Amino acid sequence: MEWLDSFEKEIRRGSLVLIVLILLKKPTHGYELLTRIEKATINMDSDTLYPLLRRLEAQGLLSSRWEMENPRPRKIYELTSLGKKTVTEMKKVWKDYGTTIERMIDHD
Amino acid sequence: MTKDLFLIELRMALEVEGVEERIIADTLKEYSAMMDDAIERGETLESFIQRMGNPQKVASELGRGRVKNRNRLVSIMPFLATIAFFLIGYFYNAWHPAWLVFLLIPVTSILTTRRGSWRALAFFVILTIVILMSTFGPAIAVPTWSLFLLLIPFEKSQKTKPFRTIAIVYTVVAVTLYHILYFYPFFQYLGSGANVDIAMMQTLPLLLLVPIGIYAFWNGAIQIRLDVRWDQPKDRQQFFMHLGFISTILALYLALGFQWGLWHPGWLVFLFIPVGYMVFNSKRVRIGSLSPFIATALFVLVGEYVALPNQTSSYALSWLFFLLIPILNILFSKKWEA
Repeated sequence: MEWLDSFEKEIRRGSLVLIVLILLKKPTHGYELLTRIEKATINMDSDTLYPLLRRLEAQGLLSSRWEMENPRPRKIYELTSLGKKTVTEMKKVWKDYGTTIERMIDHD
Repeated sequence: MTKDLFLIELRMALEVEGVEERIIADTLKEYSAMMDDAIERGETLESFIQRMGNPQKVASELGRGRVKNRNRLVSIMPFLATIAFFLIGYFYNAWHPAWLVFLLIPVTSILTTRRGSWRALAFFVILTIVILMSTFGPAIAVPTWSLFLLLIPFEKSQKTKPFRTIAIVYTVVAVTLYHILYFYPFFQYLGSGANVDIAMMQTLPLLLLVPIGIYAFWNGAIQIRLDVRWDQPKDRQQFFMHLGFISTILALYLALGFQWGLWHPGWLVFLFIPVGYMVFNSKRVRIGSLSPFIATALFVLVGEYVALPNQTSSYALSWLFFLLIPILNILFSKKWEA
């Protein structure tokens, strides 16, 4: 059903920032992050991940650096202190919202 | 699709979206690293590219914030250019080269949204000089193409860093000398005087430019990258197919030139190389990506072979085909779908 697809897409889009911030608890490079998102069976459009990382970096939630120690350079992403604070707040909001929705479903 | 082709397509898309050169370079570097990671973990390039999605979408997501910040001047420049074009065309009857004012549109965009990308700006300045010179006559225009060589030594490369100053000085001197020797082939005055072949004397100074060409490969301004894994039959087969394709195009160009003297517009056959790569390597060819090639071919062919009244060509109007590039991109872009 088209509207159901669109509903699912909206939820995914809304939760994407939270998912990425949670997965970036440990410093991670782009490919690793992509694989971890897929392993978590989150159906995410990959072409939105990279721009999202850029946006979060511009907003000061992430920082990135090129790791040159390996034979091949890799860009590592990690949470900034603002990012850590934000993810804690976001988790709280998500849980509260989830609880409210669950309560409403149970009362239905 | 190959890694190189994906990166080229991504670069083009990012440039169209007006993303800063610094971000473009970083994005390409990261995508390249991720592709290498994918291959190292046993993933095929095809499946990775499929997973990473459409370069156009990545570019439009990255460029989204920038469009909002664009200077108002960029937004009104198309209108100002159109007004200037009609005024110059009408009052001076110079529709060509009045259309050059439209180059102010990308130039303004570069100046306001891609600060530091002075090479792109220099390209447009040189292009304007070359077109203006060719307007005054092919005899003057011939050596001006070498002005594009001035861009080569400015390509930043760690490998050639210690030689950059020498390369810049040499290129400026060589290009200047080439112009002087072309217009004043003074060797004709030496020795045998009038018996000297002037055409030969004008061609010989080209040798001065050869080191710049070699340097271009060395510092990476011109790159030929062969991502061929020789132990993979599929890669080998693809390499020889590409080689055969390019050789056929080259043979066709030489045949057109030597047999029928069609060096111009015969060079248009080289457009088949990028077009061929797009058609054969992509599952779905986007008409927007093909639009620059379609526009160039139509501009040259119609300009050359359709004459306006009392004129020998129609370049003064055929430049309008370049408007096909934004038109086709808008018409066939997913971005505009509801």
